Amino acid sequence: MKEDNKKRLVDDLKLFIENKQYYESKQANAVNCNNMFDMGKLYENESQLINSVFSTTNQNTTEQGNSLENLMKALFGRIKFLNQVAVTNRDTVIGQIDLQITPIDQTAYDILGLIERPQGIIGECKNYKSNKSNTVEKEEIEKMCWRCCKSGNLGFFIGPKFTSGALQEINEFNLYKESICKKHVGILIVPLNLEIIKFIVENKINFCYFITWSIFKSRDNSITSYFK
Amino acid sequence: MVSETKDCIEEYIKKEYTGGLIGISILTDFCQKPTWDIYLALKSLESQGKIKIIKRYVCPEIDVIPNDKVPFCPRCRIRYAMTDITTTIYVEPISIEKENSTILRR
Repeated sequence: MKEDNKKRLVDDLKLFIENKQYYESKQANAVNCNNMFDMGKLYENESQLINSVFSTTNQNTTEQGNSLENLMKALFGRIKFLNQVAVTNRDTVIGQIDLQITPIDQTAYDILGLIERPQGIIGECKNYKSNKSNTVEKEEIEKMCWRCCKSGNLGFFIGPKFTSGALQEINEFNLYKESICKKHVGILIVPLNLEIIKFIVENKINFCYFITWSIFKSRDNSITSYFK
Repeated sequence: MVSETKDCIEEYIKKEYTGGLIGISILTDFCQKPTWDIYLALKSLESQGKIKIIKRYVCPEIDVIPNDKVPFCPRCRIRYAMTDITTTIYVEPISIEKENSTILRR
């Protein structure tokens, strides 16, 4: 991720959060990322988990994978309109799912800015370091597209880096999902980059707003431009 | 936790409620609980038929948008991004007995 892209992402995210908070502050009875996000001991646990995710020593591939899944579980777990965040690692009809995220009700989708509601939310975590380039390849994204298509779920893809082919695949899926998938309503692939997640944790930025911004940017097909 | 918060909400309705819709912020202030606790308790009370949760959507110009029109604001004549819309929560008591024997029913 180039420095100017990272700076652009941080600036855009901050502006997005400022705007959201400005409008939300005008409504006493709003439910939003501010009052539905648990700020208690903010990111104390997550900071330790981040170290584990980025650790290059004494970890086998299972531990590497688990550390990222546990980090994401902790971060999503702070969003209180998500009823349950489970690390499943279980084989289902759509293959092995790392994270199964259950919204409390339709209000969760409102807060996340999803006027079109998907049938659920899933997450795929990749934290491979054995891979030479340490990047998510197009083939991994294709699998995720298939899973989202088949299940009608919105999918977060969390990885260290993405190849240009992988980013292009995400763009094409988000752009043409209606012609590709029968259950296309509300579905998206939302890529999340480990470097940015580390930045969010280190700078104590509200993860709920970050997720909302990421969904928004994925829908308008501009999120991948930050990851180049 | 949910049970305690539900009791508090019922107490508010029995003792303080004077009519109209109750904004969720009234309940967070009264019960001194986070918004998510109140919302969870409201969902539980709603499932018991004791209250109804009323959701209203508000545009950046602070117009209430009819639920079936969101995210288009007829007053502004603008189709907003859903991220520009604020979701607000109100409560309509249905069958919680108010003190002094007044029964609130829809």
